[in-house]
Amino acid sequence: MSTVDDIKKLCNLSRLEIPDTEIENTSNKIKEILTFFDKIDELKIDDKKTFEKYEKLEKALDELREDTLNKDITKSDKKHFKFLYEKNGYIIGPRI
Amino acid sequence: MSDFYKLSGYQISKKIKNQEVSAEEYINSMIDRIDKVDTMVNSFISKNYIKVIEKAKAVDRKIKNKEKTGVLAGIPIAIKDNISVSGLKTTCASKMLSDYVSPYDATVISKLEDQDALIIGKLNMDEFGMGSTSEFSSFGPVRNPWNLNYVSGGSSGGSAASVASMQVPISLGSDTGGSIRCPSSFCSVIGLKPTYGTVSRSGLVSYSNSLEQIGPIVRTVHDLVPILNTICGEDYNDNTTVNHKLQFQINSIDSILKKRYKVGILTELIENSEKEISNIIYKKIDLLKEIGCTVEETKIDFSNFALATYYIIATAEASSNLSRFDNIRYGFNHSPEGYEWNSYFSKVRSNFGDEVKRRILIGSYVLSAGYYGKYYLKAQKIRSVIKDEFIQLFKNYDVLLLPTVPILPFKIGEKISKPIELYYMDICTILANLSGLPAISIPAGFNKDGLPIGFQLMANSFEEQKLIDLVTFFESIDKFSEWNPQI
Repeated sequence: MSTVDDIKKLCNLSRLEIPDTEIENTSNKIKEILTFFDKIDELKIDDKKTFEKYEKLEKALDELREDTLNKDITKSDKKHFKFLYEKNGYIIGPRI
Repeated sequence: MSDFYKLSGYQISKKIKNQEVSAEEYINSMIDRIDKVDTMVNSFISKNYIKVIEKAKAVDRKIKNKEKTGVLAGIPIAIKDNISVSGLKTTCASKMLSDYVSPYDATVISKLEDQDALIIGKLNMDEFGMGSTSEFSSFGPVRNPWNLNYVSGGSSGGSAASVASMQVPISLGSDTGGSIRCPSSFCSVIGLKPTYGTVSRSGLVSYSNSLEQIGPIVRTVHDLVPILNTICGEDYNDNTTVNHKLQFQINSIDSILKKRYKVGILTELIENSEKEISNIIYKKIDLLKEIGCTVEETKIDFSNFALATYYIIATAEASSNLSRFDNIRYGFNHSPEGYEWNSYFSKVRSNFGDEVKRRILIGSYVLSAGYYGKYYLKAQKIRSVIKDEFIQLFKNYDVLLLPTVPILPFKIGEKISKPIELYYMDICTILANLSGLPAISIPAGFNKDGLPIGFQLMANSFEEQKLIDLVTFFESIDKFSEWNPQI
């Protein structure tokens, strides 16, 4: 990982454009960070032991509120909440 | 009175309620202070002067008419620029959101308004909260009020620097891996990351949802308690908030001393810090022994893996959260007409800064097919183990004591191109985020060059009262609320 071609592929996946002049520098930094991440390979985890005592902070699904429909703020507060490009009531976006 | 700015929030609110000074007079003096000082510190991104003067007049009217006023009446509070305030820009210090105006208030803002607080402006930060120095801002770095050539810490650098430089008595920040506590330590103020689920994140621009919390930065415990009581509580708009009836208070020193808290010392983290930091922390430990606290050395077995674990989870969540920024709903002026879908997104998203791009790329990588198990899944398992270790530790201890940051503040630009060195700054703070526990940074003193040093206390979930008790004790001894920079 983290050859120049790998970084270009990753940029494509992440929808990011990085100029050719910066690719090598980015590649070096990402290589450094991934090497740092490899630290976790040193740890062997026993899954059973790991999750046996784990108490979750999150709520259970049945504790969640029902979904409700909020008011449409695009219509009620146009002044602050608008799309950047609109024409004849339609939102303008790039071609699909 | 020309030195209103030195007063804490609770002192000034009392004076306003007693009509010794009007809220309008006070807020005008604070506006003068901000205009004078912030040209040096660069802590504000936007200011809300017109509305805040109107609100101050409304507070004065309430007092005159003997109507009930809130606990934060007339206190100016500044807000990190990733928290939504209706009608104000929320830029997250990014070019991507340079023109975005929030259409609604974050829950914490509504709660502050209900208590008659004055939202005076939005504060500088690392772009989208990604950084530990507040240098990764498209509005320029925040400067440390104790030495303007040094970093303020981050990512809530504007929140800490504005409070330390007495531009506001209270600010709000957000803490994903130490973003409240690190700058609080570097600027010599108090910064609290509450237990995950205590404060609503509704209206906070998400970076890493499972790790982050909004929290207060103040100069005195007397301001910490009212702001925390105001912002905490269950929120219909954030299902991760918990239904706990939390109400905090300032206890008397006598009653705190009688509690004789059991304190666990994370010695390894203290020993691995710079000498001037460890020396000052050992003095604080001696103080705790003197008042009869049980003090024992302890450790987190898996702390060596915590930092990599944290950055894997944080970047994974960041790559997902930041995918929403496509310049169609939020963004800047760059028409999509004539562009193909993918090339347009790639083009406009290049407006993210270097550190944000790096984290998005890494996050996409650790989540991609073939690497998910190696990185993300394993990191989640280690997170569970670390959380479990803390559960066990808090069966024996009331609080844990450790450094906030293992290094002293450094010069602006010194480490900006060294991401791994910057990541290592977070080694003591990320533990509370991975485990969801509350943690606080408390001013400890200064090194020989006058640079601030802080230390950190952690408690079990929803036991912020223990942290407040110990801050109350240390403030009574050190009087750190009176430590002010010459600015």
